[in-house]
Amino acid sequence: MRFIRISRQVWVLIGLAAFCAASLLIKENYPFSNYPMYSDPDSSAQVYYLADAEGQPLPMYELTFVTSPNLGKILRKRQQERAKQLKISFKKLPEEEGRAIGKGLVCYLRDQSKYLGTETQMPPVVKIMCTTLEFENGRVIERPEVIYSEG
Amino acid sequence: MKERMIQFWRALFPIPHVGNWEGFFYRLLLAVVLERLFPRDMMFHSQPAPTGLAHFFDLTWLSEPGVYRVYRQVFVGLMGMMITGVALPLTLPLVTLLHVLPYTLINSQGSTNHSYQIMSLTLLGLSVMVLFQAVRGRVSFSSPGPETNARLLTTAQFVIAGAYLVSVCSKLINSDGAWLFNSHYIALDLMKTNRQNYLTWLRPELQFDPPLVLWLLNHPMISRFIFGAGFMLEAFMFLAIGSRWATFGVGMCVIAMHLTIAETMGLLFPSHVAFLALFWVLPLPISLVQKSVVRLRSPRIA
Repeated sequence: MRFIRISRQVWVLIGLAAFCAASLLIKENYPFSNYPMYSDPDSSAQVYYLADAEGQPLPMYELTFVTSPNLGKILRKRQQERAKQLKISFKKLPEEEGRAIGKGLVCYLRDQSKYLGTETQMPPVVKIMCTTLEFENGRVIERPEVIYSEG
Repeated sequence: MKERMIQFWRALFPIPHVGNWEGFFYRLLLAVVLERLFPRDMMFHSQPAPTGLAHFFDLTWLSEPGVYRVYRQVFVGLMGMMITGVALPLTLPLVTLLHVLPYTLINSQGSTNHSYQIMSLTLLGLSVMVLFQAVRGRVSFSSPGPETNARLLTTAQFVIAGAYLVSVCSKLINSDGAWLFNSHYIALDLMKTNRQNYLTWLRPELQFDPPLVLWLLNHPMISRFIFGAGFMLEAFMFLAIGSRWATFGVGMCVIAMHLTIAETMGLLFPSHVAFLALFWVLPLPISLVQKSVVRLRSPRIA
């Protein structure tokens, strides 16, 4: 029986193809990742943050150890998972579902704050805010909105 | 032309000679980098969105009072053994496992931080390679020889290049192939990241919009060229694997790319920079130093 001798170069290329295919299939399962950040640039971008009742930003990392980009990622992940459960598009998620997700997220942030011993610094009412940055006619326009507000 | 293509193909992915001292040096620096970047405390006590091993195991025990401090000490102790090279088929997989667990818990909060994967994945690749070498009888409980050292170095380079190539594939898939055309909008992400940095820490010095952003948005062709160059670098860096000169050049370029991102977005990936410096840039200076030492020691004709 004759064996085909595969060269070192071919082995490396096969290995790379297998590595890429596996990473794209496994997606975000640590330590694997498909590195989706900045993979679909478009003319708008969202910035999420934690604010008090008046809409003033709070030092969220100090209070909860969660960063602004992570707040957005957690929120989007929860929205996508809920939309998947309801078998609807993520953009068509009903308002009450959005509120429930916001409430759950604030609960998680308050829980984190309790664990870190910063709960006394958390205001009684907090909001999750989102500012959309849009590039229009040579200028960047900002549109802030409340995603969820306690109370 | 055909001759040149054949020459290029044959010269691809050479296996460098990595002596015992050089191998020791990489293990030492690897341990230093891992120790410096390993979390000092465990700041998360729940896993609301499990990822990786957290799908199968509850990792919240890491945040129990006093547990993480001991865990970290065990990790550092194992890395001490790894540096010596003794029982590498045992210590390297254990170091990998201990490295993966806390980062899995950190990434099980519902958001993924992409700063850590490169370290754990490289360790995983090194573990697979050392176990493969152990099965072949090329490495045992004694310190690894030049062949295993060379395979470990090229494996680390392979995993790093592979990770960048995966990000290129994601860019092409998620943008329906239009990433290069739309890449000038990355400038808007520069603005977004600056805002996020400010809103995370509320430090006044972080509240600014880089003047470059509007200029880049209004000059899409130049932006596409700049971001496209980074894209090409990520896509083809794998061609340098194994060659000390090529990995040095490419490694320096990718580090420069990361430092530029850090300057404009305030987003530094220290683990990426450290691993590129260790496994891509350093092999050339090390070999040049080794060669000059050999030259100095060799007898001369008066």
